[in-house]
Amino acid sequence: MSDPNSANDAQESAKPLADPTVGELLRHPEVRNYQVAALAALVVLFGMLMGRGIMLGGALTAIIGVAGIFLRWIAAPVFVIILTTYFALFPSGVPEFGYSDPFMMSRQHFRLEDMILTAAVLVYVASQYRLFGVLTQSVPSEDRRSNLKRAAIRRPPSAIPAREIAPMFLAIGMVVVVGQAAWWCLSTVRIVAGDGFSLVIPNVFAYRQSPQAGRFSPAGSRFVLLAGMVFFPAVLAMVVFAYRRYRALPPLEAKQILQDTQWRENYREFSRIETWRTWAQRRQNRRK
Amino acid sequence: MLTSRGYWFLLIVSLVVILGVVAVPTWSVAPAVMGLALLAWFAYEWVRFRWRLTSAIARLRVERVLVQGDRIVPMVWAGIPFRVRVTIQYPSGSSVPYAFVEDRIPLGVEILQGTGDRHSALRPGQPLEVEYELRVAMLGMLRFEGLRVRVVDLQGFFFHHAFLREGVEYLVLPPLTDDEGRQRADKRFNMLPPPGIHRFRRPGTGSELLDLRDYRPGDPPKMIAWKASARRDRLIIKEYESDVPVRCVLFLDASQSAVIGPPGETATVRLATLASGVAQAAAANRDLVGLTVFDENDSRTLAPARTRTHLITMMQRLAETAARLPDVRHVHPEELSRRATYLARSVYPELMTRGNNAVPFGRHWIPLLDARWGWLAVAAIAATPFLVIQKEWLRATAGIAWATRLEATSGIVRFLSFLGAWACIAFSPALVALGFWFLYSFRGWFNPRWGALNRRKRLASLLCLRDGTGVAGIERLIHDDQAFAEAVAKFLTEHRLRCPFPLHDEDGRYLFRGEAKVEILANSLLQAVSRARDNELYVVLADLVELGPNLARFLKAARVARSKHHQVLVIVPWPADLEEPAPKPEKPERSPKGVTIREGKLKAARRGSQQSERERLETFQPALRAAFRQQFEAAYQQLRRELARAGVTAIRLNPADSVQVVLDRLDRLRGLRTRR
Repeated sequence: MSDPNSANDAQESAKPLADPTVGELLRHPEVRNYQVAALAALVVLFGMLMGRGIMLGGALTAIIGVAGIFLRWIAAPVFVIILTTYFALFPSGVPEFGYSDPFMMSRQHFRLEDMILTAAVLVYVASQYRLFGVLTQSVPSEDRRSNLKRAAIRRPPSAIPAREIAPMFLAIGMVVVVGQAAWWCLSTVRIVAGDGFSLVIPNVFAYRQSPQAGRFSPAGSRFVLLAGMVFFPAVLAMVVFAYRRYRALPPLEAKQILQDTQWRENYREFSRIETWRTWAQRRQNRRK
Repeated sequence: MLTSRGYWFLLIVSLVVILGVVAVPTWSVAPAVMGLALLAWFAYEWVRFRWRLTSAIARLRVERVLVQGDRIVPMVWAGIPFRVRVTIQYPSGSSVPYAFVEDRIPLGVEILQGTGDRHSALRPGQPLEVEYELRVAMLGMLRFEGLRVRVVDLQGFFFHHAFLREGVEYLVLPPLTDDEGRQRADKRFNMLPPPGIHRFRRPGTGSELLDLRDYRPGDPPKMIAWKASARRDRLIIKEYESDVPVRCVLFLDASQSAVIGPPGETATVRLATLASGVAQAAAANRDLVGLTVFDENDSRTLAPARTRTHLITMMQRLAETAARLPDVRHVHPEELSRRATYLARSVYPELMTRGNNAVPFGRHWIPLLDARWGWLAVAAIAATPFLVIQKEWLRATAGIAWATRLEATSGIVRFLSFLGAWACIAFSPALVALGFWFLYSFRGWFNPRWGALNRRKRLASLLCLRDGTGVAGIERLIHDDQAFAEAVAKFLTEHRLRCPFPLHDEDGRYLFRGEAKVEILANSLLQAVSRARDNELYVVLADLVELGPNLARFLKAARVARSKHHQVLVIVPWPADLEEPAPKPEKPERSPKGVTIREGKLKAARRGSQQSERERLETFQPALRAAFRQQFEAAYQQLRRELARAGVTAIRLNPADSVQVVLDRLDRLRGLRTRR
């Protein structure tokens, strides 16, 4: 016999979900945690932008963020990212570049202000997306071509374990530091592709030197470095995951892969044989 | 893998990163720092998701039990609610924070409680349980394919779905109608009636007086009829009738004509339900009951017996028979392919992915040499070198090439242009043949049946894998429509998926008439007669209405049975989708204007040419149905007359008839005393 508590849980979580209102959701402490976290992140973001004198940007970002939380506007996180980027570049809101400071890159590593801004955006985005899982849809629909309109699958608040939000803060703190480290690496290290291909830390005044023939410009160097930083870890991760997947491959799937490989190598011969066999069969039927 | 939410997020963040790192860092580093952090977070979530996924999905195991009457049962009874309890075991691995588990509930069941799904985390060592309550109205079979597990990360960026296949089948037995059937307890109740309650006119130990005879030494004194002895002045003994059981053999039609129909309302299901009632009524009277299931190909017999185990075995056989599905080999392969592909994608998702079951572009290339005249192109290519070495051809082509060469200052350019022109002209037959070859084969990439071929290959690959046919079978199923239809029909039948099928072939012939079953039925009846003892009752539950001219063999077998003093009853099902016949002949109803309804319908039909297609259909449909009902009724009456000539009684099983009604009619026909 099963545990009666677990059976009750199953029944509870298996209940069809009515469209929950924000008020109903606030009653669940786990959902409230995410809402409070997202709102707090928006307040911090608003404060940071205001501190830089970006009044309009701060207000717009906050309005869109709040709309995402309370009106379930699913594009809100993406717009918050875009708006924050835009107003960081154009504080007045008018698209014109001001004074270009080449020394800025060498000075602005691990600045607390940037780290708080980044952390605020990350907390808001992560909390908002998790809220969307409860409010709108948690599992995407599989059959997009189907005409059948199925009800969206939402994550019930009861399925959120207590303290789920804590690892999120930990992960965000970690990736903020990783992001800063990556930026330090990109802005400090430069690719020299002269006689060979090497990474060096050039003089801070190197930007004044015009790029020599066959050498990367600073922007090009950063781009190639960025591509390498994304590409090589991704390949490594793919290899590791592929190894793990093949190691735990179910027998039927493994047989399917082998069969398909064999078919791809031999389908021309098989197809030719079957074409002639069908032809012979048809002729035999005609004679009958 | 990536959801649309994930795609959008990655796209925007990538743009922010490229913009921030490459283009604008000398104005502001905030976009670069923020973009890199967002990208790192996305990568972190992806790694976590993949790591947990590869660790978890392969280790999940499903256990399912059906609970009916507080007991775990290997099969269920129709009409009685039961609980389905599914446990997902996850012994070890990384925990998955959120998964949506959904049981694939069989069709034709009524969900009483629960929904069969669950949102939960998957944690090693903590089994996940899904429980819900169902009820099945009709006997047959339930197939549980397994559970669909959908795993997403908490942000909804990544998604993976898997299917935990089980493929377990449970028989749905007809409900027990006696007192013991209503009791669910381990204790067995003593409800045995006396052995045999049917009168049999032979000396025995019954209660009805049969005869008087002279005393023979050894006769018990209590049997002496004293008054008769006194009158005749000698000892007279009373003889009583025997009370004996009747051996009842049921013949159940499981042919294709009886299997077709709405799910749960096919003739086989209704006849099997009735057979169950008859069998249980007979068993309640301590009669011996046997069962013969026949179709167009063969028959399976269960010898008459009256034990409890035998009754349960018979119920199982009835449930298996009721679960039969119609043959879909006549369905167009493309239609079958569409339905089977949907099923395969649901139940075997990992075997239908592009990665594991691909169709390369080269497969659509049409090989020219498969056509006999395609060798002309090869001949043209092969003959070209021989043509080129001919002096006349050489001279003529060189002349044309010289005339068309480029007028350039450089000698090398002039020479090369001459050489190119000469090669093109001299080898023109081969070039034309190659061009034709390319154009001919290239058409395959614009084939309108591209999608259908891809679908068929994927399905063929799956079917060959399941059957163990191997790689050679894939191309066979792609080329051979009949083999493909048979394989897909088997696949669909195994997974108990119904498919619309045509009732008539291209020439308009009814495909499910089933004349062959008459021979099988007649042979089964004769076999039963050959093994019979006294007082046998044969109940034939079969769809014989439209087989009028083909029934001679069965009528002959029935006459043999009657000549041996057995009783034969034929129960014919009335189609479920046809209105029941009126008990009395209908009198034409008169409308207020003095026009009969039929005349009114005919007038309406005459106006059909001025009506729309839908109105016309609405007008004609009742008339068509009435005509069909009339035709069926006439065929039934004809069958009844033919059976009556052979001494066989026919009963019509109407859709609304309960088992009790039919049993009463059976009892009246048998003219026997029963305990009910």
